Amino acid sequence: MAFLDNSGDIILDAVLTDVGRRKMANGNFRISKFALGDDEINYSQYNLDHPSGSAYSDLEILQTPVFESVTAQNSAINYGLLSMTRNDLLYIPSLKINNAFTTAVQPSGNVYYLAVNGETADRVKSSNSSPASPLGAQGQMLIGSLAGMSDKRLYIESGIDTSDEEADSVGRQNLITSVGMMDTAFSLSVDSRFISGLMQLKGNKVFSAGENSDIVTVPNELAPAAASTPTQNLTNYSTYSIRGVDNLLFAPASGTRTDPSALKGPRGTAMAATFMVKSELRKTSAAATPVLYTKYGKTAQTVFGGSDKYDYIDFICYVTGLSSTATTQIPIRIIRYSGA
Amino acid sequence: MPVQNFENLDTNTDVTTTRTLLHEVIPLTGTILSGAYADANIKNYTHGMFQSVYDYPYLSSSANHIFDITAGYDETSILSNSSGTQNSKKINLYNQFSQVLLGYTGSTTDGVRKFENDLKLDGVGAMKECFFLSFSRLLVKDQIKKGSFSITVGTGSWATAFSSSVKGEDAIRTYIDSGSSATAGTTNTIGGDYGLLYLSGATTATVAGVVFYQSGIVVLSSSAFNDGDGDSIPQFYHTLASSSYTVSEALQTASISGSADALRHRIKDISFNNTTEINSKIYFCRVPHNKYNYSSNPTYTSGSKIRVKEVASDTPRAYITTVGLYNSQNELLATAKLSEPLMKDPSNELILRVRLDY
Repeated sequence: MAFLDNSGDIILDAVLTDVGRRKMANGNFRISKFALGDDEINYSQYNLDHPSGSAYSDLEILQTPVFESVTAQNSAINYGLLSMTRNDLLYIPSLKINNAFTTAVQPSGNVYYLAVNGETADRVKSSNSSPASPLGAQGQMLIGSLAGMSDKRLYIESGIDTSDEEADSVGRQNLITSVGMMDTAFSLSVDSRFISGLMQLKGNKVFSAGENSDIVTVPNELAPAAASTPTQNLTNYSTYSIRGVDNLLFAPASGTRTDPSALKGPRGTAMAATFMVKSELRKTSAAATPVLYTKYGKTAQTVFGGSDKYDYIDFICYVTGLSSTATTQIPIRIIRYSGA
Repeated sequence: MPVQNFENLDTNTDVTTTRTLLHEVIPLTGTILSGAYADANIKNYTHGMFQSVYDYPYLSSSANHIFDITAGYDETSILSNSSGTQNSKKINLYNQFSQVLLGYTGSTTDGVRKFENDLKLDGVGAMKECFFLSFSRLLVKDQIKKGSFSITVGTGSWATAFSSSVKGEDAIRTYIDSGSSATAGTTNTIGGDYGLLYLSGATTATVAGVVFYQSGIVVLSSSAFNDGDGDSIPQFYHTLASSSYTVSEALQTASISGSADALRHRIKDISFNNTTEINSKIYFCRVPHNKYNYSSNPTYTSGSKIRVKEVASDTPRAYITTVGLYNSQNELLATAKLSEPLMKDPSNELILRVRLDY
């Protein structure tokens, strides 16, 4: 994939994608719409304070070389341009993982661990392992793939992550609600070879912490998410629609509590999820190592030191806010105790 | 991640089709045909029906097949003789080319038309002894451009085919289809259009072959190697056993591959323009002023604040590098990349013209 020659007139280099060629072979190639992308652009190069003036702010961006077209779906447009009705937006919500809630899972390093069975969940609690595993005495850094294995959830908040704006109801209304940036749903894309389903928050609960109240409510009751659909541009991935509930966590104006949110500014919605692992990955150490670990992960690894051995598979979970289109990526490690 | 914002294309106003003919010059120098690779680029087959010419030693995976050479004559030719070498194969080859390119008629013995030195196909001026050059589709593409074909041959002695003269005539002859054009000078047959190969520079029109443009086949009459008096040049072919043949003798006595060897030895160069018909669909992607002014690129914000703005009233902007064309199920069917980023803000509207060629 070379760069395009950008020394002369602007040209367009067009190719059919692999899907396009397949559709053409099947006789159902029909283009009906278009979208625009800017994946090559790094907007941090936009210099609002360029010493030569504002006309030069985008000099670096305009000199960005652009790659040739490729035929693979997932190399095309990953982050599209957005059409917003208002031109006076200054903020677009961000997604942030909240590790601070009592029932929030915490990462170990940069990875979130997902235990496949009760044996693994018990084993990795530091109180049961020797040496102590880094996943916490009670497995604070562990998501359970089945009910009863762990009460930890993956929480993600959508909102404005700047301390320049007040994290109160007025800021929420002005910067999120009124501009149509409420993420009432999130799309979670996971590797369907390993994950068979997702759990989401029940719909009648909200996150709340009044500005003048010390009471913080973090919902944690889960219900199964609806069936997934194949992810458009990621092979082997499926996308789940996960409910986003109102995030009414406001910064404290009085009282003794701390701010429970991961966002510095106004909050819109939040979600929680756990992952159900495919049954063939859930076998205990008494069974032979499932072949999926051999094919896609590593087996019999002393992940936490000591003599305990684990099989694991790593994958990335992609999260996108429905309205904000904000994205984040979460590295997840599916882990199975395989014996000492 | 899936794209969120799409713009519909109106099939009446945003999509159009065009047809373009693209021509490339194809020069084939004689050194490729004989000399450059010591015939390692010439492939002969056990069946002996034709010979293939490659642009590089054919055992290499880099070699491209460029054309085939064969020879034959009609069963009514004076060369047809059951004791001749590969007599039936030569007749079969002639008939194979003629029945595919010209078809049948009830006025000949076998019902198959003969190649003629005019455009009338009236049975007069038949070329009954011919060499056939079948060019690869790799070179011809859709067709040979009419009026662009030329073949230069040497008619000197075997040792100095291009420099010695016969009866004081120029040893080098060029045959061109100068009478053919896109609108005139050809006849349409079941094998496509064909035009005549004239001897270049001759005071009287001398036809020595025909070119079938769509089929990419050149039929070269043995008369191309006759001298000005109509006599066949001596030493048209010189075998390893030091036997010399006129062109008629070669066609009758030598094997097909031997005749092909002789022809290759005498080709100085071949040149033509090929034609590729490109049918294009053009999509006019109209980007309105009030759309696509923001981006979901993760670098677009810093701490949720849009990087290209200082205050809310600043104009939003985004930089386009890619156009994705989708179907109604949001499946990406084609991608187009701009050679440099294109700024989009609410003060401008863009029309990005994406052309897909088929």
